[in-house]
Amino acid sequence: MKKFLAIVAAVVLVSCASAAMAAYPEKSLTAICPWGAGGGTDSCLRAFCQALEKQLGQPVVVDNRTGAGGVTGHEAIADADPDGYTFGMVTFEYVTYKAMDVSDYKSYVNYDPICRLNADPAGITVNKAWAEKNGIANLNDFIAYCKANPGKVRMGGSSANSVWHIAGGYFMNVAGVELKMVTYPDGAASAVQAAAQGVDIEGVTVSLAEARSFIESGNLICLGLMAENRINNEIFGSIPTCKEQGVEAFYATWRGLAFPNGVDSAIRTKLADACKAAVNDADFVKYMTNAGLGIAYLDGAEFKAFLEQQEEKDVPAAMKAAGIEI
Amino acid sequence: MKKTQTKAFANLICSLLLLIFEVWAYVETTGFRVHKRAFVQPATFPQIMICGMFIFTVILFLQSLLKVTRGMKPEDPDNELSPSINPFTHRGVAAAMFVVVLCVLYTYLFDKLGYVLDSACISIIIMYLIGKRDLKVIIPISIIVPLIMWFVFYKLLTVNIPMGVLQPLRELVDKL
Amino acid sequence: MNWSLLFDSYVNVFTSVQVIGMTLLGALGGILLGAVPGMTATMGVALLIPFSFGMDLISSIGLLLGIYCGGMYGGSISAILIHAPGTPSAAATLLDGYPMCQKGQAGRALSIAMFSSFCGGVLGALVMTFLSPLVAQMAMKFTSAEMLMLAFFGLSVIVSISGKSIAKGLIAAFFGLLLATVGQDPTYGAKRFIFGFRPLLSGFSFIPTLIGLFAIAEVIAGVERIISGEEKQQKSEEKITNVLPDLKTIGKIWPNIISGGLIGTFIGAIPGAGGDIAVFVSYGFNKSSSKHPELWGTGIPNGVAATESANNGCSGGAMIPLLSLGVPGDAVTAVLLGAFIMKGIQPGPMMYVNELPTVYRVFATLMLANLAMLLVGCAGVRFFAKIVSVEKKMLYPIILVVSLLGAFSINKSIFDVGVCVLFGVVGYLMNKFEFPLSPILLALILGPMCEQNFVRFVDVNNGNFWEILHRPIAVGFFVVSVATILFSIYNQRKINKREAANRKQ
Repeated sequence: MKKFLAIVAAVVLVSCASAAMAAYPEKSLTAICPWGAGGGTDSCLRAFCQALEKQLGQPVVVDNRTGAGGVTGHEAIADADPDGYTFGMVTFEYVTYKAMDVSDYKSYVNYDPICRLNADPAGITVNKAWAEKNGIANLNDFIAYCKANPGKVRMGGSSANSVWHIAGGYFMNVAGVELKMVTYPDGAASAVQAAAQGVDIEGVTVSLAEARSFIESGNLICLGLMAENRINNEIFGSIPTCKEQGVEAFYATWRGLAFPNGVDSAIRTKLADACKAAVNDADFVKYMTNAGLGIAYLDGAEFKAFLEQQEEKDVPAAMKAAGIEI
Repeated sequence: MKKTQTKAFANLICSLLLLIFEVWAYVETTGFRVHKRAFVQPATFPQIMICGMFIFTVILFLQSLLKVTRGMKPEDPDNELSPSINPFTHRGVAAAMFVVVLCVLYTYLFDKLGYVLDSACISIIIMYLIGKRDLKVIIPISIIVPLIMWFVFYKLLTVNIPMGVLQPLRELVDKL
Repeated sequence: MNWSLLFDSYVNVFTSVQVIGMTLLGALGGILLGAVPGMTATMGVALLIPFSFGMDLISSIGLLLGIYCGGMYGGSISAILIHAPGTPSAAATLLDGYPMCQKGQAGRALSIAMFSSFCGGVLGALVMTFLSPLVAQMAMKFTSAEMLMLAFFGLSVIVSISGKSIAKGLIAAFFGLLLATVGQDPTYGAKRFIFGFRPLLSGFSFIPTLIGLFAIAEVIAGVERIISGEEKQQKSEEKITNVLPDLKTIGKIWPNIISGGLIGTFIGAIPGAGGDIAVFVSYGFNKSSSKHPELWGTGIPNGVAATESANNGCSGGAMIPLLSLGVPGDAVTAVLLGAFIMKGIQPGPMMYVNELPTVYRVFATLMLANLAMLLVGCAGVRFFAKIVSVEKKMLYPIILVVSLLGAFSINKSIFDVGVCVLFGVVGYLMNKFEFPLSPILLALILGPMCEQNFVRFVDVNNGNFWEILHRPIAVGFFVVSVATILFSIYNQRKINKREAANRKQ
């Protein structure tokens, strides 16, 4: 009798579960965005959600949960109800939180990564007039100049401990030079502005999308892109990579999607498949191209391994080099 | 009127409390992290601000002390009766404090009851408290206003607001 | 300047039904959003971007600029009527707007605010059309040293908004600057005044603090007044015959409108400085140059005109670096930048070369947006003015629940609701003991700007602060700031003496 009951119970459970799965999603989904409405991450997520809606047939509502430098929103993703209807966009910053002691959560432990969507490499971009004055035409000239003047060259990142600030530290490690990293809490735009004027700082370590208008106007020149390959479009196509010039530097900011832990595996697979399809959606691809953002898809398992590598090895080393004290 | 009832005396007490606050805040800043490579330490800026506050608190303190001990001209604005914060002698102050307590409770219950219910409750209580006793008016108003606000925020601006026990309402609106 | 192209662009924009419709819709939405404390123009623009996906570029820019201009004016409605600035840029409007409302001139204050907003906006749009490259070059010169001194200049206005006691005003200002340091330090990320409480890491959120200090404090004080029988119900006896101010009033306020509009445009053009700073600078400047500074703060039309023209001037100003350099001038234009990019247009110097017709159409659209704001505003004045005649016993609880929702919706954080209540109590006590509130507000806006740029300037110059003497713009601002402080102290003494004389009589 007990056995029979157990079998009945199992059958009921399985059928319920599969019924739930077959019906998923039966209501609207919520996508948590840890950054403010209208920002780069928010726009990227909103564009992606439109593509995802086409795949799922249900609306995906973006919920901006801002505050505490993104900590609030990232924690909200980890703490969300794991019913499969809430996921969130995670960004580079969250691999630094544990090390900075602003959150107890680890990127690859307390979250269930779904996929990585995008990655934008950092570039070593300097003021053109300054470069010409000091006879700097390429990355190796720049490194030689930095070695001759240790700690003299001032580079702007974004706010303290942000992705671009750490990018500077990473470059220092790889190239064996000493730069003076200057923080711009207002964001990368003001750093780019200062570099374009050649006041306060000589260059920036931000992505090309951030520096685009001043590269186009000829105030700034990008010496090397920290990526495997050149960017395949007419605006940035002429910019060389660090690798071409013999410096093995690969560093990028990225954005991905994550569930809270404990989501039913069938539901998880369904959403992950929908995301994989949505990445190739024509409108989304067009948006990303227009915005100057690179699509760099990684599936859940790859993304998880990538996060672990970042959080445990790459980022702490770069933070140390950038002079960030914890 | 006694000297202790004038605004000058109230200022004296205020400045004393502020001085205590400043000393405490300064002690607190000494515990901030010291950054080896920094030219300006994280504690520097708050310390300058505390010093600035300290200087003007001392000025206020001395001004009020002189006024209290030496007496004031009758036309001095500080010679007027100071406002009270004693809830036992002033019903108005007691009501204000009650509203503050309600607000604290409101914050505590915000996600448990949900915005609409929580707001309706606080609004009915305050309206009743301050003398609007016509329940036929205050109950509908108190429910309709938060409901409209919620609807506008949720539906038009896609801002998700906790609904607490009224969650089924949200699902109803979703279906429509 | 290509005149025929400019003319064609205007014709093109002003004859397109879709663009006009979208702009009007945007202005209406903006005014309503702006009027709700906690809902800002930035939020409105950001939330509507997805709706503009399907439209052509100029229609969607029209919609967004309509919200922007409408929101700037909308903030003043709640500032005037219920002592709660709907947007940070309206924070200075209540200095004179609310007293006007208490005198039973709510409708007049609203129409002056609207008219000044329109004029300021048009002035900003004109500067943008004709002087963009020049202003952009000037704005680009603002890096750490200049920003530091600009912040200092903004702070120098505090003396003139301090009220009777300068000591109390400055205590409030330094307290505000201290509050602004709560959270992680912007340069090194060190934790300050956190007490192990993580929601404080990013400090007190600005908008909940603002709503608490003004709206919630007013509700608490209002309840106290009602119970002790001091509250007088305002009868809406004011007959609003004309929704625009009469010629006599315009004759009095036009100098304030012009100077406010220009100050707003220029400060708006500097990336990182926006309407919230411009309104106070304009208020301080116009008060100091007035013949009767003692009347400022008691509810005079000039005060409303000076601030409202400044915040709408900002919308034109903030567009200048966006279009000519690709650098957004404030939070709203940062969102607009995203909208341009989404349509495949990168604002910046190349836009003037490759997309000149688009640039000119954007100029025309901004003008249209200001007109739309005026039109919608005119239709709404009578309606909004009615709010005053709602019975106070019902109005206060409603203000309370609406404001607390506004505080919540910024970050969707219940902690922010608590912050709002906390500052409600702080504001109530400060009001009671005659500590002015506006200096705290200005300090909260300028504090981080001051600190960041100071630390950065010293850092890039390896500890040598006196490098600043090599930065002429910064030195200029410093001199002007010191002059402002001295002049305001002199002015305040004059005001206090006059008042003492009045009391004696």
